[in-house]
Amino acid sequence: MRYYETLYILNPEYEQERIDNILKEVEEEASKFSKVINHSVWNKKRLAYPVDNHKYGFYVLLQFESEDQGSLISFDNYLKLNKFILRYQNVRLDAQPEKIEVDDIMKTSKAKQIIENSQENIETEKTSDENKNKDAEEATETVEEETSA
Amino acid sequence: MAFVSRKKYCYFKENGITNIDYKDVKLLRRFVTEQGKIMPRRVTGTSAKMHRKLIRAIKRARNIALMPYTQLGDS
Repeated sequence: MRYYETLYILNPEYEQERIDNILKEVEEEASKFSKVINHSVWNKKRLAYPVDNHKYGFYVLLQFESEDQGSLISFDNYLKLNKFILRYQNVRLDAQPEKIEVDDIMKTSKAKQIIENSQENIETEKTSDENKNKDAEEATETVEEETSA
Repeated sequence: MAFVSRKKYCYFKENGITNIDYKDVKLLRRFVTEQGKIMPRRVTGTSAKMHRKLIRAIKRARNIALMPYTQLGDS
């Protein structure tokens, strides 16, 4: 069993709904031949250089395990032909990646680190602050649920 | 003595890092110049083994637009 990681960039002008739809499509395509471990939006970030005349982009991280190496080529093709994806990169991982809960992605120290590392302009910092607030809200909600159960 | 040579050491060996993640831009930034060029081993003191891994990580980060290929100075 081998572990792979795909990082791809989506158009920054898309709304949340559209991004969710694209994520669902990609996940369907990936789960045809593999087991998806993690799949979530990192953050909206400033790109180091313009890609297709875009200064910003939504980074999405997909980690999966697969044995079928033939289908990886077709998956690569799928990503290449997908017009919503500005750029992508497939990488083989040496070790099994840790599973990150989608709701908890901002809470985990690793994700936080990565996001903090990439924050150099104020705009992204602002968005992360909002996310942190959201996280705090979510945390309180989960606590309430637990107490009610 | 006017010139006291600093002892060079491998950052990764000193900190016990065995794998370099291309998504960890903050770490990789230490090993490139202001223009975005990869700094030579003779400057950073990185061990040969880790320098190879570092180069791969930097090139991956460049490919996915996390790091610049080139960058003009601030002036």
